[in-house]
Amino acid sequence: MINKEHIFEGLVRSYHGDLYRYALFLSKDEHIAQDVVQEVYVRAWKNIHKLKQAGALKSWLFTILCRENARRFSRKAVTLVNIEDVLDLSSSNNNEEDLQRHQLQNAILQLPKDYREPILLQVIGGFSTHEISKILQLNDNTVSTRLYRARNQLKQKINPDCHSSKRGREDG
Amino acid sequence: MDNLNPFDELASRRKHLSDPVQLIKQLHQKPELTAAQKMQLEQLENFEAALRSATYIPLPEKLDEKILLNSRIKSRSVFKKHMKKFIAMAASFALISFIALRFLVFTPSSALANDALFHLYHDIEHLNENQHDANLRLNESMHSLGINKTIKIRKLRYASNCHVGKIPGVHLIMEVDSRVYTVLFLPEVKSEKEESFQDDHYHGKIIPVSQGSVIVMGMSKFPLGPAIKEITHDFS
Repeated sequence: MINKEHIFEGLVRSYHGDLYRYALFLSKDEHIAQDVVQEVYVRAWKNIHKLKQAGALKSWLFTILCRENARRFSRKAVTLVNIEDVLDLSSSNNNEEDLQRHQLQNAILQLPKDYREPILLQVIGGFSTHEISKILQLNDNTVSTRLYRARNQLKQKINPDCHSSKRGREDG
Repeated sequence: MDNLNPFDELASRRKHLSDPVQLIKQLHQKPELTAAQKMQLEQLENFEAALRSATYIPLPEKLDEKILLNSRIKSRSVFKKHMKKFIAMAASFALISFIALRFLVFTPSSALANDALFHLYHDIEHLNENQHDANLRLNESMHSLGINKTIKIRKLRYASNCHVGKIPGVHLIMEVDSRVYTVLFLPEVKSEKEESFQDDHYHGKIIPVSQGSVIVMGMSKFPLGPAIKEITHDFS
């Protein structure tokens, strides 16, 4: 029991930040993101005895989150929110670095869900293409293509001049 | 489109660009880079840094503590659900015992400690309360229990009448050295000596005071001493 509790506390302290950020970019709502992460940990607590590979803890939690998020989408209609409210973009300084950061955040939030999920798993979770394919239950090539397209769209949005000429060629 | 031919040059290039971290590693491992490769490496690293910075959103305050707390409450409620039948059987016996004990002088025991812990978990949401008139509420609660004494606690965040088991008392949440403690004042409990107790997450102490008993509880990692010192000074 103590061991289980210790493992669980470690899971919360180590990964709650990454899970929350991932959930926030998926749901675009901080309250939903907190609820989803809480639900992930409730499910993790119930099923922690089933986990055999300690090394797979992080991807296990992200897999639960993806399923929980999909479940939430099937139950609830998606509401449109103001992106500035989601990430509190209005409160920070207006230096060039901040502006670029906000532009990129906007661009990520505007990506189609199929592209947003893998790129966030790669950047926030630090997962490899193969790990992402397992979490999202897709094949490696599909993930690879989606990551490539997500990255292209992001680059194009933050620097349209630079990428407009290449776009046709790169997107095949 | 999703099923790429691995021998296709475009597909291979896409694969590389879809996972720039690997590409960056490979470029770093090369003994010498051409000017074009240097520029590519710089662009890749800049874009990765920009992505990491964009996704690094500040977390809500004490999110990890909230998750742990809610998970504990939920795990306790699951436990309670499974124990429902057993509790129902035990309840009749406990009720008779309790009624008999209720008319005697109350002696602190592990039963009281359990009731106090149960009360803490049951009303755990009060740990986040911050009433501006908590001291006023405390004194009103004290008066309602027949204690005519005015108390002022330095950082009192919450005060309310409560029942610990079936014993009437006052439920307080106070802050000492930026740590939050739960305090239960029970005028009907006449304890003879101090008694410590604990569970997996919280520990506490039952302390006799001039007009009853005070139970001070805090998270296991928080020392009880400073809270006890402050509260016993106010209640003595």
